[in-house]
Amino acid sequence: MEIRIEEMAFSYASVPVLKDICLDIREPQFVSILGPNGVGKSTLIHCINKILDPTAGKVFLDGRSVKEYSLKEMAKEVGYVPYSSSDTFPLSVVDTILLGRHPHAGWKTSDEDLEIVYDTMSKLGIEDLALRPFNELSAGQHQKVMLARGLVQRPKVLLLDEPTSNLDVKHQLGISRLLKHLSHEDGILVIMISHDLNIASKYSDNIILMYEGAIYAVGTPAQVLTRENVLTVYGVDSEIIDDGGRPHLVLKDLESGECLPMADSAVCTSIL
Amino acid sequence: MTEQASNKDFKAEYSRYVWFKLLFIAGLGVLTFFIFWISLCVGTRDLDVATVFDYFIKHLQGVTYEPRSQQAFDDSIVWNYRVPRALFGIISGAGLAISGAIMQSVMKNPLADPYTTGVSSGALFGVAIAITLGFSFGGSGIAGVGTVLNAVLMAMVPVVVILLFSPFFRKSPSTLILAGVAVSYMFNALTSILLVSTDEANLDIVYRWQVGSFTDLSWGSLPLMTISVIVGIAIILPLSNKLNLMSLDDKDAKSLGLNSERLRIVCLVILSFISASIVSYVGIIGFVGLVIPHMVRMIIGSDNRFLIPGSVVLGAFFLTACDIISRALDVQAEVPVGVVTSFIGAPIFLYLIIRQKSGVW
Repeated sequence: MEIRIEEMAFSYASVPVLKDICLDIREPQFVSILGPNGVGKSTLIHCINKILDPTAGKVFLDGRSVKEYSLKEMAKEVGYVPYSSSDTFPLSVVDTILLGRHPHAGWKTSDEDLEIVYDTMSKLGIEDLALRPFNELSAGQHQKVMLARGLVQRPKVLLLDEPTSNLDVKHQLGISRLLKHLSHEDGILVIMISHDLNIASKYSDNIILMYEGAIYAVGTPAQVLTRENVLTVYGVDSEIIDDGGRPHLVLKDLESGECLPMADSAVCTSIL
Repeated sequence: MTEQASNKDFKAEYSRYVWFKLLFIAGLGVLTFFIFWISLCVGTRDLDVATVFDYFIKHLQGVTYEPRSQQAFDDSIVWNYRVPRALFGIISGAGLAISGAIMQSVMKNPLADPYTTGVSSGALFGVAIAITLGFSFGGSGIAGVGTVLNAVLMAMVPVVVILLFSPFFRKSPSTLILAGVAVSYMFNALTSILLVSTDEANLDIVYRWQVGSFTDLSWGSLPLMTISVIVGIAIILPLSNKLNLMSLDDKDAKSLGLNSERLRIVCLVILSFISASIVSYVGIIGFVGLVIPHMVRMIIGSDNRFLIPGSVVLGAFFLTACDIISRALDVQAEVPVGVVTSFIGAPIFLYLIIRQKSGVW
């Protein structure tokens, strides 16, 4: 499965979010999209799986414009794992994951569907949660269930919006390794939005770094995660350490006195 | 292999889980069947179940009685009054409950039902137009197609309002309900204007519509409502797994291959047909649509594939039971059934509002 994006742009009403996006992803691999908040990372992946229609330019999956895909066809090719999921009317974990079979299944749940769900749950180590209500799970378990829902779509491309944001370090590493495994062993093109530069660097084959609504740099972690790039894009200085051929960033504190707007000055001083 | 063994365990456990839900629904079906017979016994003329059953079967066999005999009188009570009334309870209960279940799933809102969103008030205004002004689209007559069409058209007004403003209603469940209250006030005001200028007989009819009552129902009123409820259920049941997807964010549903907006419109149109046709005959019966789906959720969960049929049977049972209560309270005066449902439903509604923050069931 390959993705080709040609001069794509997207704006909400009159506010431009993305501009001049050109991208060509050919083989199954593990790609991370990095960039500051509000840069358009989510918008970019929404434009790939038809959740949003680009205002200009084109997106192709396997050489076919996404406009020609029906929603159901798209759901068979591209899985999507959202950042969070509503639970107004929570289902059990099995039934929540079964929703991912919707593009393939009819009204009745088949044995095959259940097998796929069970396999996926055991792969993620959540089979013991099977009949628990979704709303009673911890944030980390939520995220795994949503990942499972994306996986049972049996997609060729898997898009994930910050899949490790609510997990502890052990599970962050576990999920990231699983995603890498999926891309290398199962031949799925995995595209993940992340805020953790070091996790992205450790596991990704390639990184897309975004800045001001455009793609700032694309390449291997070593090519993209340089001190200059991180300084420009995030405004944070860092020291790069070599970790087995992959960059590991040690972030430096912001310039003295420059507190993020969230922390008021009282907090800054009182921590002394 | 242990892997395979646990896989089998899992399937067995899941099928037990599904069977429990089916059993619950089937059990309710049986209860509804029984309450139908009990309902035939309640009234000024005291008849026991065996007698009622006997008259029922004999009538089906075409047995006739000597005119003016006690038997002919009883047969007429059972067949011409009580049977249609019991069927009304079952069908309108089922229809109101499924409307509520659909509304809640489609709007992702635990407080929504045709009553709280103003759909019923719209339908009532349509009925009031037909009764007081004698103006209806299509044929005339209180129980006729024209009145129902009036009700459906007016019920569509709140639906359109909901669809146009739905982006604003996502912020909090109460916003939709407040908008529903506003729409209801509007329609109630319009209905009042019509009532001010009408005569006493019409006033009495419309008043009974406003509280929801099963009096004066006969076989002739049944077919139209029955058809719209059954057709509605037949369309919604196969869509129930899609309704599960609708409880997700619209964009998540889209990523799973479902166009939520289109399905929402389809469901709301069906729902306004069902609830408007019920309102046309029995008036506004509040809280059934709101409370019944929550009761079902408490026991078998929110999976719409079971919630929808579960609500249908529990709604049928509940409304028939309320009708029995309303007649048992005072055989002569007959407390309107809408009063009974409100007495039971309103406290539950209040409870839902209070505990809403901690999620629903």
